Amino acid sequence: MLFRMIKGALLRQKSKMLLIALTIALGASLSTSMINVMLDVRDKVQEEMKAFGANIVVKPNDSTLLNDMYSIQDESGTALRQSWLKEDELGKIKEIFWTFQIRNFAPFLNVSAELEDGRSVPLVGTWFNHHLSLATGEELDAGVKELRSWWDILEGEWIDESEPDAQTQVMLGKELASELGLAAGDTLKISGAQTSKTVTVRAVFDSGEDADGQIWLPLDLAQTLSGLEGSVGTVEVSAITEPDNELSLRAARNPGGLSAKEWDQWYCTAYVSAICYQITEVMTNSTASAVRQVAEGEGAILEKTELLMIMITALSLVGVALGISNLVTASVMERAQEIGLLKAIGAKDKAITGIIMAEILITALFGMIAGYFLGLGFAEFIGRRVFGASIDVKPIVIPIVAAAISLVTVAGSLPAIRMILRTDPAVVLHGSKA
Amino acid sequence: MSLLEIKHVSKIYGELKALDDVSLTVEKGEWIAIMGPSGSGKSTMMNIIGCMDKPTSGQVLLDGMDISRESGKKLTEIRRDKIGLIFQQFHMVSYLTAVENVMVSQYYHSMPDESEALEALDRVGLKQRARHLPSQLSGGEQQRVCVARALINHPELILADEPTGNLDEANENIVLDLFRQLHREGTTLIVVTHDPEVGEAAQRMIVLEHGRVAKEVVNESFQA
Amino acid sequence: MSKRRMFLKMITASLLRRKSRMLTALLSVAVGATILAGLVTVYVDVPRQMAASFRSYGANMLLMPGENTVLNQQSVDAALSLISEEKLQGASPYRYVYTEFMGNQTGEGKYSSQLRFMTAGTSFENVQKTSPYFAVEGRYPEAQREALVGKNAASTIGAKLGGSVRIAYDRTELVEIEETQTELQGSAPGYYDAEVSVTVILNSDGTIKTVAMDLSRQTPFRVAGMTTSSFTDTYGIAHAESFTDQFTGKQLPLTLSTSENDPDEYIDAVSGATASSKAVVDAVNAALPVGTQTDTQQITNTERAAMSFTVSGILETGGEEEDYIYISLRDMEAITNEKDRFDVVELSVAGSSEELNALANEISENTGLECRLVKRVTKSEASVLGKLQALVFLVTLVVLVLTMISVSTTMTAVVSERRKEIGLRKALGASDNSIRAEFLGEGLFLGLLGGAIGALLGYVFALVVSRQVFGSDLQFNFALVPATIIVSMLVSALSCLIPVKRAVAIDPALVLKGE
Repeated sequence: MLFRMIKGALLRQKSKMLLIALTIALGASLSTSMINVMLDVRDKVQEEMKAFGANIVVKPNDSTLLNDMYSIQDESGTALRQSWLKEDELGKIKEIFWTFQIRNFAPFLNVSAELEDGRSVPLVGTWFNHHLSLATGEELDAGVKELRSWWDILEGEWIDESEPDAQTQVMLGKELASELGLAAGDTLKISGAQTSKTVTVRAVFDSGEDADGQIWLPLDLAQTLSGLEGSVGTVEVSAITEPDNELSLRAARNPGGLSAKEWDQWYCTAYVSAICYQITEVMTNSTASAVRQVAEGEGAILEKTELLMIMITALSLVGVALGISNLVTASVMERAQEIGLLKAIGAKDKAITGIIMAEILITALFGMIAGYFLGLGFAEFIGRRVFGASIDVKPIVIPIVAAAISLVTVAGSLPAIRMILRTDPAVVLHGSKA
Repeated sequence: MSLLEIKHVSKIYGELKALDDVSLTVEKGEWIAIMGPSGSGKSTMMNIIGCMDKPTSGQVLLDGMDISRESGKKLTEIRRDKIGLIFQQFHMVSYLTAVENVMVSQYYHSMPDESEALEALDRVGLKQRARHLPSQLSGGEQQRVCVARALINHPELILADEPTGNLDEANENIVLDLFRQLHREGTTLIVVTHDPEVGEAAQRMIVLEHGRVAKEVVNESFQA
Repeated sequence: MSKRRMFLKMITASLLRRKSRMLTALLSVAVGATILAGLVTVYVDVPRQMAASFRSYGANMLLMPGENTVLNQQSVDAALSLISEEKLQGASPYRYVYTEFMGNQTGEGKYSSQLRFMTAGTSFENVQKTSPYFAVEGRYPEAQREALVGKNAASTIGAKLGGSVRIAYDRTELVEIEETQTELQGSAPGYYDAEVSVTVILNSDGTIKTVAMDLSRQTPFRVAGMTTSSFTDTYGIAHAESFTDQFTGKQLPLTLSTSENDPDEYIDAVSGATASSKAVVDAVNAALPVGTQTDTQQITNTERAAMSFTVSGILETGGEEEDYIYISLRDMEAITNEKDRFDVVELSVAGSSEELNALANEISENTGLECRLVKRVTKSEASVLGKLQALVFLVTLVVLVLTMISVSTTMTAVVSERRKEIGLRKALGASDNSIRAEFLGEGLFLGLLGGAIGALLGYVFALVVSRQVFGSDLQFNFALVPATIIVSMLVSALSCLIPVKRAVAIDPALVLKGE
């Protein structure tokens, strides 16, 4: 009989129940999409943060690099450096514990060379899109093409290391190119400490930095010219990191000073200092340190974006909660007479509450199911439009949304039912209705 | 000219013949009771006369106008100008006071006039309760407000559907007394009821059965 | 009582006496309006606020000396006056010089070889704004003769926090000296007695400045068996110049060197042209004054200035700054003895990529300074900021659409409940239009009230967001109040009309029939 009553109510009050289901579906879709987007926004924005370049720099231990920031060169034009990193160890950077946090990296070798007219120019040997097949089976195109995303290629295009003639190509900074009167496609002869080579200008770029006065060329070519085979000066690493906290800052200063428990916690969290530490472990004679300008900026933006999304999500969830409980309350109040009648014919309070709650919850269930999938659609829409990638669907959202909406629905209907039940059925039935 | 002429009216809902070739004439100033058991077609009859429904076939002339052929908008106008309605469930606007409920009728008809509305309430003996909300009034009082509302625009016809159906005897008598008073003033009254006592208060009783006029009784003992 | 007053009375009665229902509707509209006003305020404000947080990436604009304009306080002030105050987050002037390390707190250097460091003079108060990512162990220099030493530099020279570091700067000065010089001319017989004549310029101190020779009368045959042109062309410019260059700085009289053991002051003969060489030397020695001339000369004076600094902080950035030593501008002026001169001014300016570009051009054109954007920061910022804005926009859009639908379902539910009342009004003779007008009036009023409440609560929300997320206050956006109210009125009026339209289409009789 209970079942028949519920069924009857659901079917006969179709339009009213439909409104409740619709509102719950809207609320569920809103919460589903907002919570999914909120949970994924950190990863997505961090992916975008790649644009700011590497956040970790690996240098040889006793480097006494005395370069400057605004292309005021040392007299020799070359950095004073006695020691080097080993090129064949670079793959190990992608084999550390936090391998999946490493987005990209590129080695750099700064040397100087002479042109035909005796002019001394700074050379930067690096990877552009160096294909790596790692021991783990992972494939990766590492290099500056991604790590210098802010560069504008004015002429020509990026050196593509998969092309066979990449090893005879260079890229010129715009200032140097205009000084030398060279354009993409031109050739020039470069004499390094070891050998000379005639190379083709593949591109002219605008970096807005001192690279504008440099020649960038494949690492192997730079090594051959300078006779520094197998050597690398610095490595820039772009990693996805957790924002620093007190522990990570302490660890960065002195990893030895941590207790065993703190050590484990630090080592197993993707703090920038932990990743630096692990890179130092795998690269011989190296020191990896965080580029604070990038790490700090990234941390600040991520924190603010996430907080902003949390606030917006909170506001919409409050809105959803009020909206649903409001409507459910209204729909229960509307049925005061029906409840009064049930009570008048001798139904127990519990039974009445059970019937009404069951009706509303069944309606809510349908609304939630529909709303969940609608919400996934919205999340997908936002992900595609903003980041060009799907928002990760987190299963944890299902119980959260289900629990929250059920709670709101119950909270909206139960007090109203109680209130009506407390009233004398005669009063309820008599209550004139317009 | 008769106020209302019903000529061979039938109303068919699917298979069901709610009214089957009914004819009836009501003169100005007459007090008619339409009676019959449930399902006899009383309500259908009332809806058609009240311009709230149209017959499937036949003709209804109200004050010379053929209301069986008019559009919904025109029917609303006719209802507003010529008919005062009283319902079994009273039907008051719950959030308006007694006097305001009367004024709603004036508002749709012409101009709301509070003093006139209060006068109408005075006639039904509710001047003291004019500022009360429907929920603060008893059933009888509510129905009296509805009577006041029905007569406020001086309609040519007052159409009452089971006006005493939800009332106790004391209130029933009050309402019937009001009807008598209205009749004396020359208002045409059509009362749909299944209560013989109410029916017998009228000048003439039309008894419907299965959608047909079963009999017509003229009340010999009627006293105006 | 007029019709209009009755209309208002019915609406107000409906709103006031049906409290619970109207509260339901009002709450719904107000929640919708709050979300609308709050999110739109946040959306409008996000770019500004986010742009400010992007400033933690440091300077995004550089001022450098122009071709004809020096970078000093005056030209910098002129440039800064072109940037609106609220956009300028910070400006740090820098003066870079190479200095030599003279010793640390222990009084001696770690290395015996020369150690040169870049030392930067700057205003630390401003650096904290333009480079918020600087991590300083210890503190920024405050007093005179305090230095912030880069981590790498500190480890190289063994500088410790609280210790001292001594650096030296070579002040170079160009001095112009006016000198009266004497011109002498002389000749001597050369090879086969052909005459060699010379013109000698003597400095005031008696040293030779230049010697010019005229070998034209030496026959080709006579000059070492070669033609004159061969002498001047083949060995010529090089040999003749390196031959005469030897005279410069020497005192008269000169001696021609005859063996390898002769002292350096002697003149080496051109090999294979000893006779001609001897003739030149003889001619110089025999030269007699013919006149004087005045010459202005520029001389570089170098003076070394050394200063000791207390290390107040060690700087960690992970970048090149770790190789530098930072001192205050005042100390920099003291050590270089140069006032009011900068090499670069780092600016942190909020604004979109286009705005910054336009600003940089404006500054370059109006001040003659070179104003450049730090592309790494501006371009990356533009791309990330664009994404964030798009994110907030779409999220706002989705939330608003869903909220507005939700508001209208609630309004619909509340109005649907009154179908019976609509039927009664129709039975009493109300035309469809007057019923619509009444509900529209109610809806509009609810929208007005809910919208006004929402506009206020929305501002409160946006303010909370602004304070919590960005730590800054928010201007109340007055234009948003009418906008919120209008949208709320539209939504609530429309969502009233849909169920009313359905209700008036129904026969009053059906509605009025029993329960």
